[in-house]
Amino acid sequence: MTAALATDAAAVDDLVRASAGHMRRRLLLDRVARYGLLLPFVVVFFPLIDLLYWISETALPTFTWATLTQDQIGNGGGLHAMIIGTAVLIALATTIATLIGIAAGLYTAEYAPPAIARLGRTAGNVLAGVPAIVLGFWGYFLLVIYTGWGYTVLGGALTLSILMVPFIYRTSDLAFSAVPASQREAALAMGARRYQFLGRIALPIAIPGILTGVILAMAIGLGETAPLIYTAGWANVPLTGLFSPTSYLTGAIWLFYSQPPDIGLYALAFQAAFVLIVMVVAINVTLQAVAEHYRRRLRGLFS
Amino acid sequence: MSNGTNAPPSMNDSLSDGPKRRGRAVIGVGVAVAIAVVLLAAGFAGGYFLEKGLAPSGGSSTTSYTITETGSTLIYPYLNLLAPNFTSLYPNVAISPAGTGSGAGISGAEQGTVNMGGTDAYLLPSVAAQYNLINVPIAISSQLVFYNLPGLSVSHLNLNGTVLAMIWAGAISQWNNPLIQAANPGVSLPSTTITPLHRSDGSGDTFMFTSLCYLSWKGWSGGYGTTYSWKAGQPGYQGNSGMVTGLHSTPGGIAYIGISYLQSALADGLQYAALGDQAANVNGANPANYILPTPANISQDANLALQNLQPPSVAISLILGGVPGATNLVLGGGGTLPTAQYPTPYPDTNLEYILISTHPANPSLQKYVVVFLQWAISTGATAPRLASVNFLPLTPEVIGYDMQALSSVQVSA
Amino acid sequence: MREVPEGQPIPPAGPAPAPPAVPFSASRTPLVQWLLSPIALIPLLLVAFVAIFLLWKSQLVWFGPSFFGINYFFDPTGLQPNQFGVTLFVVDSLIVALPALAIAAGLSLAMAVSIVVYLPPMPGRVLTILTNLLAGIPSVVYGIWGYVVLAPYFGSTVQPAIFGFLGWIPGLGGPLSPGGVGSLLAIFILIFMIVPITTAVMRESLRSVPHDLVEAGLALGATQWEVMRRIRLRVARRGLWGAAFLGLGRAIGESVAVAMVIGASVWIPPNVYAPSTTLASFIFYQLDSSFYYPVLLQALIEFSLVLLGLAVLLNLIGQRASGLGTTVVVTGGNGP
Repeated sequence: MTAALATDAAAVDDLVRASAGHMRRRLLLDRVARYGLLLPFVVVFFPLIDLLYWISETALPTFTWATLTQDQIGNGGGLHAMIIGTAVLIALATTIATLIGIAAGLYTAEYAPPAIARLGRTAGNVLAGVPAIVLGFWGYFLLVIYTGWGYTVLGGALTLSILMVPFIYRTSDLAFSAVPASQREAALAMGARRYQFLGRIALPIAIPGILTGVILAMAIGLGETAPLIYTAGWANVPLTGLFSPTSYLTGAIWLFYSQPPDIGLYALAFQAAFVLIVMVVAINVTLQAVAEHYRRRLRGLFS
Repeated sequence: MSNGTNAPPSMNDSLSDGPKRRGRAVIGVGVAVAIAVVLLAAGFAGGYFLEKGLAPSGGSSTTSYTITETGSTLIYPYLNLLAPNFTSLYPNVAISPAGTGSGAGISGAEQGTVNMGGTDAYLLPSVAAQYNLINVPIAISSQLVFYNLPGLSVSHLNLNGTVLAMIWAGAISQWNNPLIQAANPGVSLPSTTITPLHRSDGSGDTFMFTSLCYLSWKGWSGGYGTTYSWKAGQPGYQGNSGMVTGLHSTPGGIAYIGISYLQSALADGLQYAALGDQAANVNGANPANYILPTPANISQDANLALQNLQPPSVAISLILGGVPGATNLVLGGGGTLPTAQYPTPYPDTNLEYILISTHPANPSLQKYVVVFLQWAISTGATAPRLASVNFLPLTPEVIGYDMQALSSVQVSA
Repeated sequence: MREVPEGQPIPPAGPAPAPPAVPFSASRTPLVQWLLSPIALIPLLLVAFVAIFLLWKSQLVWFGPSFFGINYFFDPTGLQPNQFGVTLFVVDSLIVALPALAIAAGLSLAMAVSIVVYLPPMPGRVLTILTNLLAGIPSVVYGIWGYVVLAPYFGSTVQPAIFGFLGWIPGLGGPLSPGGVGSLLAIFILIFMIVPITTAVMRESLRSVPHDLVEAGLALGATQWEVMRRIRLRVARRGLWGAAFLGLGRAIGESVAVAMVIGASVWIPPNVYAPSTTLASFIFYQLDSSFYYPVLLQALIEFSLVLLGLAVLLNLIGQRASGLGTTVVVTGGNGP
């Protein structure tokens, strides 16, 4: 702690020395930074807009209500089965990942001995960096071949959930750790027991953080292709149970895009991309709204 | 503000080490996690027993079946056309095809995770026997060589197997190479650098094309297969549609593309070559040795190869490489030489296969698999359905072989 | 004050050296908490499970001197000896990942500074949504966009332009790749896939700089820019490095989008325009073939182990550099 303070003091010292220059030049530099640093947004978002425009331009002319409500019929039809498949995969994976992630996060923040907690957090960061293709490989060998299930919704969801766990784990850990000490002390001083404090005080405060993690994990799971192709497989019809293969939107893009353009599936690839992007935007806006809602409600708790 | 008496102060402690209290909550969280783990384990076990124990017995009372297929992306759209029509004939049978790749189709059939495995490349008879599988061809497909060379005076260049192999091996690097010029007398060829494209993903097209090169040129090294160690620096593209797109944006490029993509490649302004037969590898200058991929010529290749096989087998690539007199007509199946019975066989043709088990786990379902395949190679194979993906109907010899092979499948317990 | 537990009798004052009723201190962690501690280690167990299962599956058949070489050759017919030199792919992966990371980190830093310091809250929030949207776009869509829209443009315009202006820099010299696919396009696509994660972590790092330091600087009359350069960047340094390494892990691990635009040529490319490959994308696009050829499958499992090891290693270095391992960092979302 003292070392850190020394560094900080040196930084301020250095700042004083640097500030001795000409005032006008310094203000100009500040202004250049203020507006110059906006340039990267243009660099990053111009291509994004180009991408979104291209997808919409290709998808919308043939987009009808039936695209959403119809199953695939032969080499045409709609995305109904894929939307259901994506929803079920994401719902299952999110449920599993949330159970595991919150339990591990809560335990890390509240109960685990410091050494264990440190190890858990490091491992959580590592798990977030494990390439999806490696998880897909693992899922194929374990959940498709070794178990003898074949391609199944459950296998796909389990593989996805491992991809999602670290995001929920880390946000839950952060959220529970960030509960102000004053709240804890107040609760404990009132004679509350540990679980009462956790359930009635800590959880409501932690919920926005946990939700952030859950929704972020959902968005990431929605966009994955590689781990699903070799675990959830593919099917023309809507899934019939946990042990049937299923179709999903990213797979529709992947598979239909490589079909000959003149037989009808090609157009569905772009419509699937469009639907998926709309879903991602919706989830992101929800995330912001939820975060904002809680930020307002909890204003004053943090300062 | 002392930080406890014995806990060492560290960043970690300040974040994680709230007042700990032994209590029911610890056990509560533990129990919750334990339940989650048990549920997961139950899921695993349940799935296992559902697959192993319940599925076979469940088939006895109900009459509704779903036949699953996975594999080749080339067969996928064709099966999509067949499936609804078959279901309208047999309302209790649904067919669910999946385009996951030929390798996945073979793997699925071997592991028994699907009822049918679709593949563009045959499964070696020895391997098939090991897993009790049979190769059931359901259609004839072929492969075209496209190039991006606008402004030529002819609509189809003449290219033979030797030239193609040398192009991909890097031995021919410019379009006005004497060997290409010799095959195309009177055509003014530019000195543009040739950029040969290949498929990056595992592909039956790569299998066929490398077979053609392997058979046609002695300098070809590295064998043939669904993947190949290409000469360094050549661009690879994902899928046939990737090849069409890539070739479109590569002036001077050349690529092998499945015939299903004929329309989209032509729409992109690409042209395809007339391929040399075996004689062209010896006498490349004779225009009569170059064959266009018309349906008649493709069928001739199929007939030529399949009628002459000794012993009969359908596990072959119908590639006419090599030189006349050589005995390497077919790969995998063995066979004899073609005769002059069919004068213009297109040399780069293949069969599309469905792999099924002869000793299925669920014979009553397998009965419908057999019924479906019998239908798919006979009355189901209507001209419009085949034409929409540019496939051709099987020859009578292959249908006869299929029917015989299908009769060996165990369809009752 | 934390050491005062509620609901317990105040310990009698005395000379006893034992801490007075601190049931939650490390030295007196209840047994049940130790026993249940694997719950906190679920992420570790998952990583270990994946690694051990793949290790068991691979049997390390190809593991040996040539496995760490730079030669790759696979003969499907088995006539010639195979060589699976994984170092080639690791080098190719770094050739693509490092420049992508350098550019993405620069862009992210500028964006994070803008959002944290200069921009009002509302535009900041909108830009955060947009940055997160980049993370949510499926990688396969990036891939298709890359080779349909960008590749022709790169081949005809971007490559010649870069070659014209910067051709004297080693690695940026010719020859060009006419179709546009290659390392350069993969780098460009990867930038958009890294930017969300690096921006999010950098934003949180800059936000976590203590307010009193910032206010001290401003009170001394320093401009926002000076406070940023001299105080925020310096204090948040470790977090910024951590962001970079997390981004690198992402870049190394991306398979689908890279597979579609990299050009799939197995060599060490002479320049950034040429078709190349990466470890992750190679595993992805060879996977289907490997079901035909058990030898290749064996090699791919070992490649995926190396990929896993590489990702873990870079991640650990990143955490070490940034000190993230001991604090908690959210690699996305919007922070508290």
